[in-house]
Amino acid sequence: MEMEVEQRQGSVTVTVLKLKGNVDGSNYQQVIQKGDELYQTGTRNLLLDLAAVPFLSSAGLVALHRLSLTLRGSSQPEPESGWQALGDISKDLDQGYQANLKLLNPQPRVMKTLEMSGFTNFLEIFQDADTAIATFMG
Amino acid sequence: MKADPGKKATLLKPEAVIEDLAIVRDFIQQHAKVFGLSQEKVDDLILAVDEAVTNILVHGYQGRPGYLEIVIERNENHVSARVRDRASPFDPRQVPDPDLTIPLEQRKLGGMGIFFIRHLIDLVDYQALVDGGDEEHHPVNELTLIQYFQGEV
Repeated sequence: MEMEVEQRQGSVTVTVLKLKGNVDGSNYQQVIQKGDELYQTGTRNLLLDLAAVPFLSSAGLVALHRLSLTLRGSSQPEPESGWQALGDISKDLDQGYQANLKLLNPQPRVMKTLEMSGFTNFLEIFQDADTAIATFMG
Repeated sequence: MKADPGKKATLLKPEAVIEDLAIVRDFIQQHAKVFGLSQEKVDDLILAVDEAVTNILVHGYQGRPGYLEIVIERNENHVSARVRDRASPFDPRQVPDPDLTIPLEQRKLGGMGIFFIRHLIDLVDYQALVDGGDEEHHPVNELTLIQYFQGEV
């Protein structure tokens, strides 16, 4: 899996992180690490481009969840604990969509995984990058 | 009954590691399609086997290399994938379904994988086998995932 980072300017600065390849138990921690790096260098709004991700398992969902927590400034659990707890997602559910992490162009198989797990209830999904970037409000 | 080699394939990894997941998925893709499952059922089987193997490697073997055997077979009305390991006995069927009314934060992600398996697979079976060939005489876990050609029977 490869990752590309791009900064885009809407109402606020939005980091677009494009994943290329399958996200599974062997590499989901790379996504978590990239999210930590981006947060430490100032990223607060992230659009995760999934157009080039043919496959994503529940391990990938751990990474998405961790990105969500990181961008909200929540404490950083150990990567291994991602397997044990899904953290504060219920708060996101109470508040509707997550404001700081949004998804772009998930492919049908990945969409099925997101829907099965209920992640589509709190992660907003867009088909167009410009539209997505315009919705970040800081 | 002797198995027809054109209807059965085995992937054997005596020291499987997490990086082997891609090989596992390719193996299922290659054979399940040839055996006649629809692409959607093939994709569902790929995800289910990936989740099962991930659980084995992460939880069963706790990240250490371990024995993994996958047998995929075409039968009259279904394709079966049997996933065998030598980790501690673990019957995924005993794991309760996640209660969707419970906040997600209280769910375990291992449970998420098992939930996926149940959701995607027509019939899930489990056996704990005693393997005489294993010097520690560990039972071999065997998880069987069955996809019918025409929906759930």
